[in-house]
Amino acid sequence: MKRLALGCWSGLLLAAELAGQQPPGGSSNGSVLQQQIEQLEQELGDGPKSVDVHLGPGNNGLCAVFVTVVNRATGASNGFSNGLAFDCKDIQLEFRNSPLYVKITIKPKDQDQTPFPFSVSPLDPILKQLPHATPGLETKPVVTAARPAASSDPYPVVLDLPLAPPLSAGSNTNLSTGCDPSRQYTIYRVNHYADNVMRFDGCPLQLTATIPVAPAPLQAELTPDNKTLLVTSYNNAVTFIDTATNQVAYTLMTPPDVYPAGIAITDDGRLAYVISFIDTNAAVVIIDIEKRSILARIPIPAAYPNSIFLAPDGATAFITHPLTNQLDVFDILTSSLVTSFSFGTPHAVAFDRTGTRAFVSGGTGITVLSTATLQVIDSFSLGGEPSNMVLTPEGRYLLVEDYASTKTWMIDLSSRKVVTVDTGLSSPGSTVLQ
Amino acid sequence: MRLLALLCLASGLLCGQPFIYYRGVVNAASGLPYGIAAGAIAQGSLFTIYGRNLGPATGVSASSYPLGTSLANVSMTISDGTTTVKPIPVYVSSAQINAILPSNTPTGSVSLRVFVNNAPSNPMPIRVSANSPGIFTARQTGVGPAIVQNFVSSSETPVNSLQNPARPGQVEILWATGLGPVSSDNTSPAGGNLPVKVEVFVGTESVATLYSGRAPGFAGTDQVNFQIPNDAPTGCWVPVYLRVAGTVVSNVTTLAITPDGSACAPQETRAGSALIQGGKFGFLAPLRSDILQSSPNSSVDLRADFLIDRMAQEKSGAFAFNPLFSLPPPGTCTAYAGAGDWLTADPAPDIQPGAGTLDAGAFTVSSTNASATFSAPYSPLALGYLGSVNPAISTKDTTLLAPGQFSLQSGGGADIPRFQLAFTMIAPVTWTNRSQISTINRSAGLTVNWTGGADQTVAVVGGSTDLPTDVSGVFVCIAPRGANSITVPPPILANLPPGRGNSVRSKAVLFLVQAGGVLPFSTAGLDTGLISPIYVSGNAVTVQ
Repeated sequence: MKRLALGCWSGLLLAAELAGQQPPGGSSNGSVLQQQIEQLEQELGDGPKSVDVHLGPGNNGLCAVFVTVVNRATGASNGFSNGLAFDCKDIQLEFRNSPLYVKITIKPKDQDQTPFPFSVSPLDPILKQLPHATPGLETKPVVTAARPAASSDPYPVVLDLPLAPPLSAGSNTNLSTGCDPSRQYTIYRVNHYADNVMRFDGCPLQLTATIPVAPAPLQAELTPDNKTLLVTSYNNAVTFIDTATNQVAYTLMTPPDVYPAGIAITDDGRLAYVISFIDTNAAVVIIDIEKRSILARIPIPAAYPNSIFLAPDGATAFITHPLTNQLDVFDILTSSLVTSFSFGTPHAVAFDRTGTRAFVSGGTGITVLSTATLQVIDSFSLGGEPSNMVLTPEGRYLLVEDYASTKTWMIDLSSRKVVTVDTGLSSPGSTVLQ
Repeated sequence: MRLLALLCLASGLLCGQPFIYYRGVVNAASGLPYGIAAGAIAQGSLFTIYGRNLGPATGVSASSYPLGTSLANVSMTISDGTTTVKPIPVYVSSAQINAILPSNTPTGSVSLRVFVNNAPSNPMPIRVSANSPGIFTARQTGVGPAIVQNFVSSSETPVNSLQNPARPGQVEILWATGLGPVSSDNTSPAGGNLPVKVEVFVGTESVATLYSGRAPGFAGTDQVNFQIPNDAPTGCWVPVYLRVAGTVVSNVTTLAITPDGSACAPQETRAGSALIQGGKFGFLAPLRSDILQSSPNSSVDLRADFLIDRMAQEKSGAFAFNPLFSLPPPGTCTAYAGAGDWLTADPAPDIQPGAGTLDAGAFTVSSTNASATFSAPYSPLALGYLGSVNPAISTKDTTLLAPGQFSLQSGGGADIPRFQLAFTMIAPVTWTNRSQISTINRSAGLTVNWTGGADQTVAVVGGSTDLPTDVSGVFVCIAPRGANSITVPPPILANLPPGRGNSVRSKAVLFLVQAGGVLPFSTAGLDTGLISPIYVSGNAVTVQ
């Protein structure tokens, strides 16, 4: 949830383009492809150029965009291809050579034709996909961190440093498109009714394992070293999965009155904070991950705590109660509740990188709280049902998933501009990014 | 606001009960926060709690010894789970508490809670150590002029200031807190050296102390007496800081030293002089930056052109200070640390204009074949963006400030009418060990070598930010004129936040900065106008 890597954001940019929208943060020429083509033109030196863009089968068996640029004066040429996660028959290409214009649109598609709904985005609307056995239970997808990238990565990540080109100059976004092998992701999807966790590896995206877990799984979280996936199951268990073998390493049975739902793991990988989703005797259960045992059980006064979100420095955590309209602030050091207050249907919490602001999705918008004072300092009205969120690594964009549709909102926190992205795929949980 | 009202009505917790602000517990002198090495609270030291509903609306101070553990119905507890101690309040108010941390407080992570009329606050984690020095400053921001007295005689000890500098060889009395625990915290200290090694650094030189312990009569407050070396650097803002037990370094403050103890000469540096004089001060700096970023995933060389457009009203005064202009003397270094992401947008302490900004309108920078205009500066550095090239995005190059002649025109604004200047952009020096510096090892120090720039002011500036704890540190070293090397000593690097091996969670940069001379200009609406072309070469680095 909190580990959105740059590749995902890049994919979202591509998704925005695929949907025919201007990607935020992009340059004024409007298109990543156009930008890449213009770069090739510059690299080929002076002289008239011709450009060819066409679709064809890519390495992953799906469609790819092939671009060739020729300097007609010198005969020099260069090109590239970008893999797309769609079949060519589902993609429409519009291309003009002069003035240069490239637009790729996904054709409308019947949701039932989607081969399998999965996502590399933490904004995966898995919530919608799972029929809710227990009202209000929500799941959180897990995305691993990217593998260390090769030094020859053609899409350098630009750090947010002083005296560097400012964001407004179009920097600080990774415009990688297509399937980039140097940015490999692993996606775990919790299947509540199938009692399993599906593992997908990206580039090409493929299902690599289906791992049975304790019944009624809800949420999952990886340890910081990515070696263990902890999966909460409403039916009184937490499953430890060894990600090297895709096997269940241990199933920790909780007391019968503990109903594991939300989960967060500390940065040092020692402790897991698991929420017991119940009306009476709700609690935060603290698990020693190495010993696979329960260390403590801290009562939560309000009913139905659903998810827990650790602040970046690990000192506090926010707990959402979407059914009872409450938000808790939990002190990690003392394992005690700092305060609780009313909050309309809080779904999720995202923190800025410095932990000074908490973005809380709830009702029809986002409320921004100062974590120092817990006072409201800003808000964004979005409509729909804002739910899962993630802040992009550079801290500029807040991505918010709409629980009520396939839309995703991208909030530019600098300009306060809100862009709505619809991938064009209407099947639940079928947002395919990257 | 409607939500806030709901919060107040619904819970009653947020609006009436005491509430400690997150990361709101700091060393009372330095203000250094939790995430900085010297941000721990020392046993027996004075510390400050910021929050709301922490005490009476009108502040109340403790008035007599022995001090109690409750003041105006305000008390505190600190617990590590097994041991609980009660801090000693010396000042309480609704927004702030100053208190003494008991010397028997367990070290490590503990939890602090405030009680007002027996109503408890939220718990707040703090870090406790035996020693964590902080120097009190005249501006109460933890930076700039220290609270230090020039010893003339036992009856004449004026506070050091720009108008009352010290002279080499003079004995000084420096006020601090956090040197270490004592046997009694609530009684009037009799004085006596504490059994811990305390060093005073003046400039870059470590000076033995004449006395280092509690200030007699002032609980929780320390006094360090030392003699300024005869060969100490002179200047209006000579760095002075403490190192205790050979490891923990305080905030870096300043001391005014002149050869004869006379007031700081306004001609010392043009920008510094303008700051001291106060008034309407305009500073323009055409700036080119070349930043080599070799991490996290690929090398990219970023170039950007800016115009620093800082038109401000400054306050004069005996303790005038601004990190942008109050530079340490050549051959010395200073450092700053505090809350916020200073490498992006958050302002460092005292960096903002003293009395507001002035409007000079849009600026246009032109060469013979190109020009760029910006309407308003951004960032605490007052940067106006002119152009850039970022190979990570495009080969398109919109830079402007290649070495050569330029004109600069202001469009005129509400405070400063239109004016025009000419300037010459400088060429970069050669940073000879640039490719070898990808890491700053805080315990080993750092040496930067270059060739060229003999007629320029050359500085090494570095900084790092730790995002999860929202803290930053920056150091500034000024090279002697004509030098080709600067070595940054370990104590100056001590409070830089270390990297976390993840560029999303921490970042650091090292700059070699050259200024091609500060030239005055005159225009209506300004008392002082200065322009200085600046070239910055940078490396994205990691701090260990």
